[in-house]
Formats: sequence, C-alpha cells, structure tokens
Amino acid sequence: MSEHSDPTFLLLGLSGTGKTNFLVATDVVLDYQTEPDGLVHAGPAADRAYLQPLREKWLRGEVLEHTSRLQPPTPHHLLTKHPRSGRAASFYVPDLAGESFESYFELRGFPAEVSARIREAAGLCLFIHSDGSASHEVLAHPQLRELMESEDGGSDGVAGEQPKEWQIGDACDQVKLVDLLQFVFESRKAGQPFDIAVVVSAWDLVEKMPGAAGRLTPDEYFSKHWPLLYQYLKSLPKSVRHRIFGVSARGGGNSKEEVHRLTVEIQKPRDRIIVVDGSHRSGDISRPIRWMLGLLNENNG
Amino acid sequence: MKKCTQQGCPYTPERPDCIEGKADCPHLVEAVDDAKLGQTKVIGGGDSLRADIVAKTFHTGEKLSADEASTVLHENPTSVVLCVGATGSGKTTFLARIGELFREGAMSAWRFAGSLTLCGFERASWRATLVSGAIVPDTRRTDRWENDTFLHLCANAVEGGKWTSRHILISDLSGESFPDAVSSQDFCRSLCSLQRADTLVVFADSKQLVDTVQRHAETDNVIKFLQQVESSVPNARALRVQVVFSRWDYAISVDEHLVNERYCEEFERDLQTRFEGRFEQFDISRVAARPRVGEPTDDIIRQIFSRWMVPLKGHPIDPIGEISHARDFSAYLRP
Repeated sequence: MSEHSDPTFLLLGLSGTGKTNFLVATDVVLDYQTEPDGLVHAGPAADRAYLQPLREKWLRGEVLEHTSRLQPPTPHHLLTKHPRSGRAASFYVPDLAGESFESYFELRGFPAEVSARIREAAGLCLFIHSDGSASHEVLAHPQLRELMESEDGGSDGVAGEQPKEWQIGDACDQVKLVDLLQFVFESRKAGQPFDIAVVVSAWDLVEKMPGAAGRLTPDEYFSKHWPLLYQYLKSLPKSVRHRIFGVSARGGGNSKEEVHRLTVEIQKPRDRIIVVDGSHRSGDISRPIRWMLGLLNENNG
Repeated sequence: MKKCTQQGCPYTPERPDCIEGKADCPHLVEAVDDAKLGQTKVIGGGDSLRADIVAKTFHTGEKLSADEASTVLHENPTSVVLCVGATGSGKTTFLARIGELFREGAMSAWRFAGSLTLCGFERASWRATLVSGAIVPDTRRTDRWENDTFLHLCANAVEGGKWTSRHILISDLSGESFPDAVSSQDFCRSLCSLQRADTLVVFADSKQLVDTVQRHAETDNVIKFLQQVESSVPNARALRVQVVFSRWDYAISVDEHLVNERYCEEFERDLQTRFEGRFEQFDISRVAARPRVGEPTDDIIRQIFSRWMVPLKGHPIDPIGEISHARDFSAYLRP
C-alpha cells in the first residue's frame, strides 16, 4: 500500500514521551545537516500545516504543547535521504498523540491503516521518557510495618480507603509497550527483518543525575530502568535488531535560564540537540534512522 | 451505558442479573463515546463493539481459557502449573510477586520473553501498588469462575551455552474451591488444570499453622488434598509436587516462633514420610511473598519458578506442532 518503494519507519510511544519534539527537531536537522554522513530532506512534505508552527515554536525555545487526540494532526511523512549512498527512507508518523497508542493497548488492536503500515514497515522508533516510570511502585513493607502491625492488616484487609478497581488503562508503561510490540509482531510475518530504535528522550535529565547514574550509557539506563521491555527486546529473534539512543531533542529544560541558554548562548538551533549512542555523542538526530537504514555499524557507526 | 465483559453474560441495565448468578454483575465496564473515532468504544473489553473500529485485535491480556491455553501447548514447549490452597493462603500474591520480579528484571537466570496475560499479572499486583490508592498491600481474591484459566509467560535461559525459551501456563484454583478439591474426587477429575499439570503447588498457610485452633484442619486439608490427587489424577506419580509454607513471616514474627517452627518442621516430616517417592518430585519451601516483616523470600520464589521451567521425565515435551491429547487440555474438558 505504500506509495514509496523506500523503507518506511514508524513512530510509537505513549503520552509525553517526546515524539513531537523529536519530529520537529528532526525536521530542522534535515534542513541544516552538518554531520558529513547525516541524512537530509529528500523533498518537501505534502502538508506542513501542522509541523511548521511547531517548528517555529521549537526554534524560539518554547515548550511544544502536548498533542491532543481530540484534534489529531494529519499523518506525516518525512522523506529523508542519505546523500553519500543515495538511499532514501520515509519516516511515517501516523498519529503523534500518545493517547492513541494507549487506546490501541486498551482496545487490544490497531486501526486498519496503522495495521497496514506496521506490516510494511522496516522498523520503528520506540519512545520512552527518561523521567517516566516503567512500573508502578509496589508498596514497600518496611515503611508500612508499623501501620500493618498496629492494624493487623496485610492480606486480611485493613481499615482505610478502598483501593480503586484495576482498569486496563492502569497497566504500567512497560507492560503497555511490551504488549504493543507483541501486537506489532503478531501483525507481521514471522522472520521478517525489523529494526527498533529505542529513543530515551530528555536524555539531558539523565546526564544531570548525580554520581554514577549520570554516567550511564543509554543501553545501561534502559536495562536498569525498563527491564521488562529491555529483556523482551533481547529475547526477540535475530531478525529483529534493536539499539538504544539517548536523545534530547529540545536540548534542555523549560526554565527561563534554560530557554536563554538554548536560544541565546547556543548560536545554531541544531546544536541544542543531544544524541548519545553508546560512546558516540553528536547533535545528529537522524542517527536512529541512519541505523535503521543500515548505515551505521553495529558498534558506534 | 454499561456492558459486561464476560462472554455470554445476559446483563442489561433493565435486567442486571449476570452469568454468575449475582444480582449485580461485577464485570461491568463503561461504554463511552470516543471523540476521535466518533464511534462507541468499550474500555476494558467488548469484542463485538470494538470490532468495527479496530481492524485487527489481539490477545486480551487477561487469563487464558483452557482452549486458548491449549493453543500455547500445541505451539510451544510449555509447562503447566496449578497452585492450590485455602482462601487467603497467598497463591495469587505469590504469582503476583513472580510478575513483579520479571517487571523488576530480578528473575536472575530467566529473561522475560513475552506474555499473553500481562494484564492478568498487572491485575494481580494492583492492590499492592501505590497508584491503586491502597494503604497497605493486598491481593484480590481469585473467583471460582477463574478455575481452569491460566496466566502465561515465556522466558529464556541459557542452556548448553545458548538461549532457549520455554513457556509456562499457571492456574490458580480459587480458595473457595479448595474445600471441594479436598473432599471430592469428581471435582478433582473435572479440573483440567489439575489433570494436565506438570507441577502442583500446594499452599499451606503459615498463619493458620501457627494458630493452635486452626492448624490441625490446615494440615489435614493439605494431606487429604494430596491423597485426592493420588486417586483422581491418572498420572499422579509423574507429577512434581511442591508444598509451599506460605506467609512464612507469620511463623517467625511472633514471640513463640520457635514453637511454631517446631510444629511446621513436624508437619514437614509428616508430609515427607507420607508423600516422598509417591510423586516424581516432592519438595517443601517456606515463602513470604509480601511479608509484614522482613524482606520477601525472592530467592526461594526464583528457585520454585526455575523448577517449574524444567521439563519432567514423565511429561515429555512433544515436537512443536504435534497434536497430542496428552499435552493439551481437550482430553480433560467436560462438555
């Protein structure tokens, strides 16, 4: 069904995981690419009505609003090419609203168009936020010991407020993402090659963590904080490759000082962007797509 | 408007009786208008309603029926585990802790490789999470209708230098049904999860074992149930049986813990005398999956899980795809 013979890549992520910032920053970098091996625009998108105002906001260092599912943007194509090899790729964004992906999880299925795109795609960018919580915190007993002993609680019940009943939307984020990936692989033919670029967004927050936590590589961070998803990806057959990227598409926080740093102190907007891939560090946000195109080697490209 | 997620439930707002004979159907979900889709969707279930807005649907994420679980058995090397014990003996909490250990990446030798029932695991842990609004950890009771339904996991481990994957189906007999299992061979014969199990885990509740009034009935029920298994399961000798002294924190947290431990040790010896050699494997563990004091006994939980994953001599894993009634549940399902 694709109108392009070039590979298509999808974007998948729950609410607030940085998909819009990634898309807008990629759009900018494809126009102002300085990385000798980086990707550039292959041609203008048919409709930039949604992207252009966001691009202006991003350039001004403003916070991009959460994409609403009630007024969803039209699907986007970013058409990219790799000048040296001549290879092109289409980066397809069916719907930027994270709630849509949550609804696919809750409804246990994909709409027809998304389903068709998944069957044809060569890979996807999977977004998680560095500030996000992979699992719900289990009530830790040491802090509750006194309360439980005094009330003789535990699994026999205890006086107090009733917990709310579990609803499917209450599943934790890594469970939602694993299930969505399981849906993806149920949709595709077994053994078909597929690449998953995991984008840990707001990577600048990880680097600001004190001590050893701030020195973690994206792979180390992902395995430590998203173990179920990490293990699931590791368990997939060899035809499914994955790689973890730390990305700060905005480059920093929202405070006045940070916005000043991003817009005034950093001369070129593209230089705000941070992309960490193992020990490699650059501002080339097209790197995850380059990896999915097979233009990086398995180490640091 | 509300709808029921249970297949075949005749619930309507005008006639609220449900398939389980309850006056108020407990499985109702809200059907709400979805602004984007402009059609009605059901939160949490409702295959017929969602079929028109979703092109392809996948597993529900909830426990599998025996038919669904049979598909897993046909397609993959799979172990079947049945957990049995009285109401409140900690079966679901134990299974919830296994789910939590996988979510925490703390299942040591075993690497998570997929699950058709992630929502089932989430539901089991829910009342122990901060976000649920619970003040102290609790576990939802397993209902009777959940008998012969299965949680599913696929996990990988290194075997002979390479990663191999195994599937596991875990059923959790409702505590309300345990008296039936203790007293009725017919009931035991009707449980396809028991008839097909590779591993049977019997929970002896330590809270009852340290109660001088309750302890004798608790030990007697465990013994009687295992005797029922011997007489109602045709290949009982090939079973791996694990007796779990659950909620062990109750045995060790009181002043007279030495007396309690001595009683439990005596019970262990009695069980070993009666049942060792009668099953393919027989072992006893002490577990506190969500203790009131001390740390969860995660190492023991991991050991128990690891044993589940090892195929038994008497239960050979057939080549993938070969249909055998000895493997799936169809031979044990009663019309």
